[in-house]
Amino acid sequence: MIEIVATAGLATVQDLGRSGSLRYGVGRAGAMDRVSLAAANLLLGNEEDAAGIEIQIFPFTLCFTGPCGFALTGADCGAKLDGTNLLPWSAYTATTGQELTLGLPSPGPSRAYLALSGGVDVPEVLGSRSTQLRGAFGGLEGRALQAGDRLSAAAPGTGRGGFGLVPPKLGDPVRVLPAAEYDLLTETAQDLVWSTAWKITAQSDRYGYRLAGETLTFAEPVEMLSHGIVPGVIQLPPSGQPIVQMSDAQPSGGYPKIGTVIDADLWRLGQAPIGGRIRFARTTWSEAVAAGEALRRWLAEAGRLIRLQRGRT
Amino acid sequence: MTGTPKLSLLGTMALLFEAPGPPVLESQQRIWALSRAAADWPEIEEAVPGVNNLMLTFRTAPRNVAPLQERVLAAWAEAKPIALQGRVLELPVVYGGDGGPHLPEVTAHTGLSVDDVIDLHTAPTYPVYALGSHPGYCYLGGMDKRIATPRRKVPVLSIPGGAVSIGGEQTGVSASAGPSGWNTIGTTSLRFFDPERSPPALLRPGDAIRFRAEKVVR
Amino acid sequence: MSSVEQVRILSRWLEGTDIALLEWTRGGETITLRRDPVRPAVPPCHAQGETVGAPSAGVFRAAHPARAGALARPGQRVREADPLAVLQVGALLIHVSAPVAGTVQAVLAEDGAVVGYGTPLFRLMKAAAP
Repeated sequence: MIEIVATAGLATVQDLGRSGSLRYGVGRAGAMDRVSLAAANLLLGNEEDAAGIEIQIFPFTLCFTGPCGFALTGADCGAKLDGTNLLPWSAYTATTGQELTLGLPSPGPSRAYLALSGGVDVPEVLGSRSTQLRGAFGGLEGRALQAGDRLSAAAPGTGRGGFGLVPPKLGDPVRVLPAAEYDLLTETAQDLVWSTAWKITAQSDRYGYRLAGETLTFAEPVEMLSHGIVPGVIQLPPSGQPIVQMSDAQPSGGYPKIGTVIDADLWRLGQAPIGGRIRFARTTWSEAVAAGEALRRWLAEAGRLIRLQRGRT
Repeated sequence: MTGTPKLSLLGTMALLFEAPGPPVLESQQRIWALSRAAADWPEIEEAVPGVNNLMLTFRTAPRNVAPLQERVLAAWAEAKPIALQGRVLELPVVYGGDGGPHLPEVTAHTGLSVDDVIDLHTAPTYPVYALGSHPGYCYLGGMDKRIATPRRKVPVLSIPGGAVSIGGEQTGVSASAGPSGWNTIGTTSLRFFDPERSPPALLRPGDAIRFRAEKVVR
Repeated sequence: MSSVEQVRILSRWLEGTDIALLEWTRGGETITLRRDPVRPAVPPCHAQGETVGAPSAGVFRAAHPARAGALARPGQRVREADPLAVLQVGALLIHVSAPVAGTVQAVLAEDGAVVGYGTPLFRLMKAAAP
């Protein structure tokens, strides 16, 4: 029910990620900010895991070729529907011919998520609708969206508009559990991991964030065999500058790892802008588990309030 | 086997088990056995073998991870090497030319002739240790150390699927276009991955690959 | 009573009426009070103001939590469906939107006040038909 009118690049169809195919060399993919995508889906009464569109570069314009409910979360990009100002983190209904434009994001989250009623209707591949760029499958033909692309919503008529959510706060720092090779760092390097305000360089993208800051060194050279990794793993290549693996991370790597960003904080990292700075805070297993549970509770409560609201209109 | 295995956390979503000792075939065969056993445990989402190691991902983070770690160590102690499947896939390779742009670097580093490099590359049967890196990609064991060539200082932005490469002491075949820091010496037209098939990857850990020189472009 | 005070009392009395001219004679004195012609505050061709009531109970928020500044100020022109305010219920924000295009005349609720369904929130002066 939508047609892409203009995109500056790198917008893809994503759900919460592909699981169960790591052993075939297929990584998770999925939204960089899974909390925002889940919330956008909840705003429409979708399953949290329904496919949406992740927009990373702005402006972005699409046209509704049929009536459809939609929701926008993540970055606040001064969205307009045919010139009407939209509020961020809200659900709306569009009629045929209306045009939705997303402008440049205000300071804050840098990626926007667009959900459609029922979810973006593309085929499931290996259990997910996320776009797998390397290998070119999943999402829409395994590639970024282009002007002229048409996408359908699975249940366009189920939209209800006129409400939204209080956006969750991003906050700083990002919590990390040390990984196996953390102990091989020099003491100075270990301190620097936590004290440095790491800059997200322009060479950062969905595959990984290349950070710049103090050079970190191991007490002795470290050689690794290829081993499984997950998004959030912080690798330290010979350059001494860390790389944080993100959504399009390969499922395996050969660099030493100094830590892993906890799953509950990956969404915040996924919203950090190029050129921004991040800090890491050392956390514990139980704190990380508790953080994940707090996130699930927030989503569950948001879903409950939204269901009540949708039931009234 | 001497030495103790290493267990570490990858955040709260995965556990990494690393076997002690060098990555010899027998050790890898025990990794396959451990992977098979752990894949059935209820809290494990997926068991993902690596080269002499195993990653176990969780569906949800367990409240207490210590009992799981103990179970992994116990299962390793019991793990018996799984024999090779016996399925050997022969890949026809066009060595050199446009599909093998870094063959000169390998001959320069090793001091061997093009024919010697190809002979040493096509002689062994390479067991598939694990899949990873990208869809369908196989980590192979058994390359002759004489043709080992260090990874490139500057990775190539994109090498096509089917590229046959040497990186350090390992060799491999890429299954789709992407960046690589390895030295590409040839190309094969075989498709390793089809997401519509079940399983989607052509090869499994325990299979083996042989390279056959279909043509040499000089 | 002085003349000035009489004038004051008479003026006050006149204010509440639409009498245009009053002559008060007492003794040899005449006090004449004349009302200036009434100039309407608003051009007479505009329709009456519309009250926008709360679509739900909740906490009235003049600004969206993620944006600075009130969404609708007196004198501001709005289009139909433009957001005027939000009502907060926990994590949920219910939109208060302009039912018609027009000009915001008055904000009738205080920021942070708990309002009920139907509580008047805005007075909106509907725009003239084109």
